[in-house]
Amino acid sequence: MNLLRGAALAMIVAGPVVVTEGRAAPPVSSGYVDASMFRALVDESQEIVEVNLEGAVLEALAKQKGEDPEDEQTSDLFGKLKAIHAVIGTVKGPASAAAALVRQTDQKLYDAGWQRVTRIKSETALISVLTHTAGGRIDGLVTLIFDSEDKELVFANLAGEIDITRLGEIGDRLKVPGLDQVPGAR
Amino acid sequence: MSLTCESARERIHAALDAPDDDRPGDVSAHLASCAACRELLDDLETVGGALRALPRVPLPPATLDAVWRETVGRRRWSPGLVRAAAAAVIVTALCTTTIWLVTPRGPQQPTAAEIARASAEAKMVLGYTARALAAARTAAADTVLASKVSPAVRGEPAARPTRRTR
Repeated sequence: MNLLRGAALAMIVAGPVVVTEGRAAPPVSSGYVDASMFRALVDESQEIVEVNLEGAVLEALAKQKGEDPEDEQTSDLFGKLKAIHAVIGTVKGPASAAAALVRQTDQKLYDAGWQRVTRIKSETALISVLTHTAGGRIDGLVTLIFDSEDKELVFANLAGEIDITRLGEIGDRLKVPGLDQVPGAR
Repeated sequence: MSLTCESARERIHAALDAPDDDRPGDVSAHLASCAACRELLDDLETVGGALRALPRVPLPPATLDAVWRETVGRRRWSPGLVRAAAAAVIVTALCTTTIWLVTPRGPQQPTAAEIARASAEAKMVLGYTARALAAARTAAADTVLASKVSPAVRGEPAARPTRRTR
């Protein structure tokens, strides 16, 4: 009987370990921002780009070696990131609701200690870039872009060690179709 | 065919071990003609009879216990040892399970197609972020031009910026 009691006690002790294993993974770093609210906002019937890159995939991107030295810089940048999450799509419902959510998110992050790198508001567009700093280093970056004319929403979150200058240089070099449509960019 | 002495003596021993059995006829024939084998049989019967005539002396219980402890008892586990062994088995199983659960296992390696798609997605996100940062730079320049430089050139007071940057 003592043996059974001991085994039962041991199972109770081991229980939380098993339960913890089944839970959703916690945010990879303090620079992580949940994109689910933006995901819920975009119109499912139109084109949506949802990016969730972490762990092994990011490691694989970091190990990619190209002939161009710029590829190596891009791989280095990926190697320092812990996660890339993004939602890009056309919002459903009135543009004002999406604009309000973008403004609220921007303010919420600011109130939570994120620093605004920029916040641009024009008649039709809203662009906001915020960074999170830990130990004197940027460990999170959020980009919010909303154009109320075509109702396109961009939410992007990079978590991990981020060099904004390097990121801007590399991003500028990337020939990604559609980026010219970003309001305010030349 | 007559028996050899060796065969006859084997049968004599077997017959003495099973005294109820009748002595085989060929052994009797051999004994009739072989004095040495007959003498061996007489000696064996004499020793057997003398042993059977000895009184039966029961072993004292302490001696029996001592023999039991030194032979069969050596292989017997005490209840405490059984519990300790069971506890060791459980602890080992739990430790193994816990280590297996908490040890990070190597992630499944993405395929080349997954990496290619991820690369395109990541670059797109970087592109958007870079464009947003570029927009910030542009806006900052516009702000300076609109609020400081242009009015100064025109000799007007500084205008209020229409775009905010930090």
